[in-house]
Amino acid sequence: MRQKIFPALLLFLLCFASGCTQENLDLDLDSCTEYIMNTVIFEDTLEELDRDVIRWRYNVEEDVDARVFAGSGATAEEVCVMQAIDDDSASDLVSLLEQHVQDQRESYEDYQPEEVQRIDHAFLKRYGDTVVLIIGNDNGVSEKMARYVEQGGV
Amino acid sequence: MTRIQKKVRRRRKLGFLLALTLTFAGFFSATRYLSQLSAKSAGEMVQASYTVIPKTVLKDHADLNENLEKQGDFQNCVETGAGRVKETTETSETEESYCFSEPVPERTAVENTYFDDAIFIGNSRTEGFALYSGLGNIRAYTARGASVISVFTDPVISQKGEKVTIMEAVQNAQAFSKAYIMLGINELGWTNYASFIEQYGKIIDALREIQPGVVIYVQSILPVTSEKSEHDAIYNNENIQTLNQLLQKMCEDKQAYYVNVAEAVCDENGALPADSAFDGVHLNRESCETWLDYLKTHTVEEK
Repeated sequence: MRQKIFPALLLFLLCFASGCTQENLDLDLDSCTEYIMNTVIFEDTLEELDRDVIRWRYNVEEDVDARVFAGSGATAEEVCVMQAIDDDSASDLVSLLEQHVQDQRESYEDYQPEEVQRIDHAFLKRYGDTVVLIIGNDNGVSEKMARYVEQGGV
Repeated sequence: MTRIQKKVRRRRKLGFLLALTLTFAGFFSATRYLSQLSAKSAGEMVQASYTVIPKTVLKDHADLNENLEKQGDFQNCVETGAGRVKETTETSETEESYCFSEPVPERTAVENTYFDDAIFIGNSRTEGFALYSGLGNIRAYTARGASVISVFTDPVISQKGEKVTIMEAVQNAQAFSKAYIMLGINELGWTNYASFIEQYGKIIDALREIQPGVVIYVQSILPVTSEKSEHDAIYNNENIQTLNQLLQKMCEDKQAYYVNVAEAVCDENGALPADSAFDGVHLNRESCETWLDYLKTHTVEEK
């Protein structure tokens, strides 16, 4: 019995440590973004960014497919759903977006300190090769995303 | 001494005096010629240059106006087919050079490709412009809260894994031939606007050093909404207007192109319409597109 539990536990720990609790999921970019925009509460008016602008803003590779909605600068709110072509690229995307969140935090720290709290509660999660970043005005983002996955949004 | 010796001596004296006279005459003629030449060159230089506002400390806008009136050279712009140009008073000819004291006039719109070799320097508003204007080829060096000082001092741009200042990032940038600057809203609370203008001038100087021959467009500071303006002792349209007037005059001094983009996004009261900005300051997509359209129709060259 112990021989069976041990590998299972190890696998669970490995999965947990990598931050990829839903490795095999594949989100549909458009429906996921639409769901987020319709259910998550935002204070600012977010506008969809063009592909070239996304590349400039996030410095992502051309093969990354992405949907991004961002505010005008009044708030730090944004929605970013990016899909990489493989596992390694997805890991890179996570690092890149972690850095982006950190950069946003630094840039708002002196400019609009009240935005820092919002940034500190950023939702950043990887679903398969897709990475989702949400900075909003909603404490229930995690639950809403979990519901989306449960409802078969993948 | 014999009579012959006396005669020789007298002739020598006369010869010496003659030589001396000729030498002096030659010297004076040469001096006169050179001074005429020098005066002519200086005159030509005056005609070819624009009025330079003396770098006195400008306490406020009134001082600046006074200086310009003393120069008496702020009004000699005439309309031609190619836009407003400066007319010299010393000659009857109209000098075909740009009138930097005036905002860039409207002309046929350029394509988006015009901005392929342009860079944009600014604060969060320019960042919003980069996100929303639809200019896919934009090269923007921006930071929230950026000021005319912080562009030289604060490492805010990520480049090759390290943070550099906006001006360092510009220096590392690929060649560019146009630079658009919009700074000033974060400096509205400064007590000394002369320092703002002086520091702004340093950005222009630095850009010219980095990229000699660069066409520099100084954009006017965009207004805020009436609501924001009426309830804010610093971030209000009165202060913005004051800085814009100083910027326009700085452009004449530095021979940079003043683009009065504020007129494109303001209402009849000179304020940003309430529905143009969520917080009264940062422009929405529609206004950023209007901003871009204005830039496209207010250029000084076609390519």
